[in-house]
Amino acid sequence: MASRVIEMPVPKETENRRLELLRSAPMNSWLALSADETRIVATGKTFMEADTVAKKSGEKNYVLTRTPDVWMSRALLPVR
Amino acid sequence: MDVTSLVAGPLKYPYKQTPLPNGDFDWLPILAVQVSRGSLLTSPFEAIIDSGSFDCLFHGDVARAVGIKDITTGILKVSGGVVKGVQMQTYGHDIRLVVGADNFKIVGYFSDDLPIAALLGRDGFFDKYIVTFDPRGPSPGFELTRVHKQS
Repeated sequence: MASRVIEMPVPKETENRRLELLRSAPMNSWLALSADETRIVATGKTFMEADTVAKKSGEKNYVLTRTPDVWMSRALLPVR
Repeated sequence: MDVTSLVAGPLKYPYKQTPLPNGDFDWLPILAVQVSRGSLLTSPFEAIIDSGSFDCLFHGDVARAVGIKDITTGILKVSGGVVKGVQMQTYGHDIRLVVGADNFKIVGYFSDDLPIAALLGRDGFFDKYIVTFDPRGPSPGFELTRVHKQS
């Protein structure tokens, strides 16, 4: 039986805004992005610091992410 | 061993943009997940789906957010990459990985040297989902289909 694929929508305007936000953010830091990824809700040196500030702001459905020390192509591929 | 897979309907997620030098950018398969341990549950955070990673790797801050104060108390595993000589010490702890409404027990490996929030690898993620990377169309992305093995 064929099953239907449910797509998770993302508005087009969100894409470029996400890049702008990530580029503007401090490196080696945690960010809380608004659910539509158009605003930085909080930043912090640790996960809990950014999370605490985001919670106190009253923002709902934010997502945390981490900026690296430098933006670059990475062959992540950790292998055992 | 008779193995039967119960397949749930797939969910498709769009790739997300990540900066590169010189104004360039890359599209990555990024998924919002949560981690729980005991009664503690993190807020959602972004993880890169990476079939090249043996395990699911998380920044050490994620461990501390679920009450693991010292990640070095976990099982030590040294991970290497494709770059010769580069190694990273990771420490395994029992956690639950939460993906939307789904959650399951895994051994998550933590390191303070991981430059990003998390990688979802083969042991703990790719053994739970069929992952289809689809670059076609106006909204390239990836599909996840949960599979449950029965022995």
